[in-house]
Amino acid sequence: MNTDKDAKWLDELISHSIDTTKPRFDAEEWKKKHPDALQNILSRRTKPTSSRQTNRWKLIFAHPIPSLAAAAAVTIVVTGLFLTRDGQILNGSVPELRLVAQSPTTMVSMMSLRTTYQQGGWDALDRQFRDTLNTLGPAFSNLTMDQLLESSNGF
Amino acid sequence: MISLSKSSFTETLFFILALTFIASPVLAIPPDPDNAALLYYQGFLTLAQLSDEARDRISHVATGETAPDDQVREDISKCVGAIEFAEAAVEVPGCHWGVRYSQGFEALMPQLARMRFLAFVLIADARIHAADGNYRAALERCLMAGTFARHVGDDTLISYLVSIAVRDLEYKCMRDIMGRAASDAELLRWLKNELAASGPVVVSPVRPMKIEIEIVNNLMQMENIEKLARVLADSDEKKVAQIVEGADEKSLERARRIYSERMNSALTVLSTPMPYEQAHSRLKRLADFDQDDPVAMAAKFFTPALDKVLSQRTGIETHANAIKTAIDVLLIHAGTGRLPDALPSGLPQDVFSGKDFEYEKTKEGFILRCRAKSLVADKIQEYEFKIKQ
Repeated sequence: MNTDKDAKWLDELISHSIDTTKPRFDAEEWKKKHPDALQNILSRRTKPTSSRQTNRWKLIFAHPIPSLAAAAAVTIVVTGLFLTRDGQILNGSVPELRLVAQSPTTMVSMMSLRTTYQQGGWDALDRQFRDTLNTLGPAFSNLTMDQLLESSNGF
Repeated sequence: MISLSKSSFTETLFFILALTFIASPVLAIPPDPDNAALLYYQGFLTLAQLSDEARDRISHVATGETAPDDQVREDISKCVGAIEFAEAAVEVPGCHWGVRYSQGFEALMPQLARMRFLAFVLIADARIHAADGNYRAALERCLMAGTFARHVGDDTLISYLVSIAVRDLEYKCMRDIMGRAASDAELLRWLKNELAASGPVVVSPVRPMKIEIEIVNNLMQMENIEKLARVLADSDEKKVAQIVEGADEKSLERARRIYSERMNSALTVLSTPMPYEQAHSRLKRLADFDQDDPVAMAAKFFTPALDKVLSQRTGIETHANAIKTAIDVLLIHAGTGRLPDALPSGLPQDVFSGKDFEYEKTKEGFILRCRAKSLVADKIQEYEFKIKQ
């Protein structure tokens, strides 16, 4: 089997199937076709650029933060990464985020258990396991086999 | 000789093959699970719906705080189904709990609380056997809890810690039973052999730490910024929004780098044999971040309590060595009728100091004491063995 010949045949087949000429972008044509998208891009220019953000963060990094030990305090410091010195948010408006309902099952998430251990050691983790059993079970039906069969009589 | 026509022969052969296929017991009954976790999960489902008080009674008996009474015997009798599933599970070598790693830190692990409780049930049952004078059955139950500890495994750092806690419970119970069975040399020799054959004492923290490194590096990406923010801000919606709004790739890249460097160095320390004090000091340094640097503090948030992980591993290894050393001391006692004046040489050591245990005879038995303290608990560990005359 001639591999070169096959490859040439494949190239020809592809070039017939798709346009392989170098794409050319006509900005004026695009602006006429997509006025809404153009407006959207222009409005973004009013927001701070990435380099401006970085400069502000340099100011934050230089700002002394009191010594904090607990993980909760770490959260405050980390959140500070995204704030200016006077506590204002860098980019002005805060984006709206969906509210997340806290299910009791979150107490058994990897992060929840991990944070508990970080903050309170094994004793705190053990207490959380105990609370988990109190909150989440074991809880199963007290139905007897007769009751189960009775409920499925129609099948 | 009976001669069969070609068609009759074919029919007979087909009939025999069909009969073999239908009657084959191998094909009819599927094998039991080859994953111990499936059996433990069934055991969890079978655990009785006990009151808080009943669960407390079981845990107090398991830890040796109270002696088993009629009430706790009744509580445990309601958990027999779970114990039977656990008995079957420890015979299965492989155990995969099915953690949904794709969920990262949001992965739910409700099984861990049940594991902890099942351990209490097993050890409380062991103590009931011991109270009835059935020391062999009691020690068998302890060894079963040891296999369960290994099955709890190293899927996550918390699993690893639960595994150590189950092991610790096993050893505490074993110590009490050994003292009561001090005159039974045959039983002690059997226990010594069982412990020698039972494989490594603890699972390693290295695998769960490697998994965490990958989870955190995935989380610290711009496309996961909302998830990251929720973790960092503990779902405080205002802070979450602030973090999402202000984050950029450059800071996240630096946070990833700082975190990965520290964690990889910690893995090297935990995987390299070195004295406890030296390892502890290195891990302490690795957990020391610049508190004025919010990016470093983000990395700190995800760095586990490395010194605690090390101390718990060292503690459980030391506890295991104390049990092995005590068996040899008790064998001398069983053979001569008296405790030795000093520890024989060549016995397992205290891992905190890397030296032989300090041995002290007491009125009731003896104490094995470490020669260096746990730098997290800030105290010298000691293991008491009370001999029942």
